[in-house]
Amino acid sequence: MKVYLVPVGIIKKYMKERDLEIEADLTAGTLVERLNLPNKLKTICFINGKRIDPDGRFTEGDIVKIVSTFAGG
Amino acid sequence: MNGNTGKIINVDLDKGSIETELLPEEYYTGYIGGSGLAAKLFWERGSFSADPLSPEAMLIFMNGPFAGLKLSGASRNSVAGRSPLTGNWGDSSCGGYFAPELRYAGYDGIIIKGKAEKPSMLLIEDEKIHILPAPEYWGKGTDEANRAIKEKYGKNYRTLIIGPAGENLVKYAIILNEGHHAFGRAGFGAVMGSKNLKAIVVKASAKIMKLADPEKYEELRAELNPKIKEALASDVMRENGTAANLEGGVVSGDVPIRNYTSNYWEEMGQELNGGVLTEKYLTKRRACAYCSIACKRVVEVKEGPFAIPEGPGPEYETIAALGSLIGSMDLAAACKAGRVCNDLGIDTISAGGTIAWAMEAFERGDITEKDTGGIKLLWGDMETVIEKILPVIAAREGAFGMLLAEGSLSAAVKTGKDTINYTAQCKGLEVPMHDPRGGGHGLALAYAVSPRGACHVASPMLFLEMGACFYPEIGFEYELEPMTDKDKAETAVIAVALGALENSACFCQFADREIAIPEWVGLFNSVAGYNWDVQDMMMAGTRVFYLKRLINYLFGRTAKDDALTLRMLEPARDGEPEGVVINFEGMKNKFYELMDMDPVKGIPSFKKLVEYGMGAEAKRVWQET
Repeated sequence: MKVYLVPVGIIKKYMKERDLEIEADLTAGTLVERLNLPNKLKTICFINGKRIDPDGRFTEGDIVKIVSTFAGG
Repeated sequence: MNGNTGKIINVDLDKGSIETELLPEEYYTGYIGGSGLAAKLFWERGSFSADPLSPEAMLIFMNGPFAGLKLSGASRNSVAGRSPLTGNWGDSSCGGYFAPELRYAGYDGIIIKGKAEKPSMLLIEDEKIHILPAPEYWGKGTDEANRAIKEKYGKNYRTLIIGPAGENLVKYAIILNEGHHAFGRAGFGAVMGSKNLKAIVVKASAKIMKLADPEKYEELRAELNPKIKEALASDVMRENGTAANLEGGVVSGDVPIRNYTSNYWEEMGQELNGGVLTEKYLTKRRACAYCSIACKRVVEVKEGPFAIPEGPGPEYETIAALGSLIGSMDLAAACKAGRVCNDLGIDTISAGGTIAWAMEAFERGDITEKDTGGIKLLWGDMETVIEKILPVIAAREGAFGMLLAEGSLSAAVKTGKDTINYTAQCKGLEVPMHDPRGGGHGLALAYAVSPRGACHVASPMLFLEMGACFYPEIGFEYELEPMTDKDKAETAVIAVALGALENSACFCQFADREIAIPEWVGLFNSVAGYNWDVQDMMMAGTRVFYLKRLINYLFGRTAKDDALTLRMLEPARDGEPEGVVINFEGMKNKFYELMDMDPVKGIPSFKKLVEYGMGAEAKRVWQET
């Protein structure tokens, strides 16, 4: 199935918005691993404004925001 | 003494006297330096009854052991004493260029008491130290005063200056270094103002430092500086500043909006983030002394209602406090408001927090135009904030200026009508720009137990929750889920000790998160020769935390003051954390248990204090009550 990835904030530096074909049982944690983002960036997926646990899954057509927990002070 | 100079300057402005003093080495091994050593000095010499704005009050500036040693992020300085904003222990840290120069001049710190008869400044040129009349700078903004002082003495003379807000005793007045770097929190600019002290200026003629093991230190420095420079976080902040990921924070619910009434405002996240600042207004990147991160911004807004000439630009806290928190997504306005705060000498976090409270009070009808002197307080009205509100605060002009100049807690107490419920503060210090309901529940605990009040840099809890660093040697090798209370009390035990270490060593959290525990130990031992092991070092950190708790206890603060307001603990209304409730009491109770702190008094047990070598301190607090 297909989902649409939207990088947010500093993640934009490492990936572009794009469609992604994934397996139906792919977890959010595995998706993040596949994006090959820097290891130091703790990254979370959001769908419809809600964060998805690493073992959470997607549905066809989801718009997935890819967000880092990085924060400045 | 190795590393530290061991020497401080005692200034008595009542007598016009200046004396230097050598401190005992055990003060350093016990309390390190920076805010820890300042706490030790306050504990031994400070008055617990004196008003913080009275001549008797102590104003303490203190370096850490690594100042001037050309290590990234390690040349900060602390100011400390009794906070006029909170009435409790207060400390505030500043980067910039003051700390190395003070060290090169031969001193670790300065203690100032008394009150000069007329506006004055302190000039330090190595062993020559003078209190000089400074009427020509009084009443001037920090920018003009800084330029005038540098013109007179030289551009390499390092300055600490207060603005009109400090002179007028605004409770959250700042002290500004080089016109850019702020001792922002807890109101020590007002303490300087209360002493008629406009500026402190320092220039050293040489850079002579004695280290315990210079070769070992150089080895460490050669490893650490590139590690800090090349870290991903450093790269991100160098490119787009500390607001680089503000947009990500908005999605997760970390960024406060309209006095913490909302946790989501997508358009604002797109407008206020550091990338936009870079594209639209950045002209230069700047760094604190010897720092390779260079997160500081220099900006220019060329046109429009908020045009400003090239000069210091805002960091994340200022952008959020003078942006989303007061309902604005105008980045140019945040740049200008931050610049105005710097020049007037006002803390942007407390200013934003206090104005946000006032805007909500106005919206609810709890204060009216009668109270504001005819000023309409509307969310996002930045023209009014810049042209009217900030100036009346700094000048303490009229009843409204007087009200807001005291900070949000005092203003709410005076206003009544339960307006205290929607202040966002702890122990009187306004909450910084990370909302625990979306940023991480452990941060709520960290805010509450921080001795100076709500503070995101008193401990590295924010970084630990986001998984930015791990410390297996001291038991922190697990990933945290920010949005739960799981393991947060246990982590806070580690975090308060680490935070005390950082703030006593005067190390920047952006830099030191790249430093592993064995490297920390190596730094202390090679610079100061303490022969510490990991346990010794961590005990020193915890000891500093405990001492600040004892100081607050003698100011009358107890466990019940480790609290957050209703606003901070009510369920988030929207965004990712909508409906989330933080198990605050559960985390706090567990933390108290793990730290062996009395659940009523809020201080460590007699036995625990003795275990940390604080027998005399234990007798003072446990026998006096």
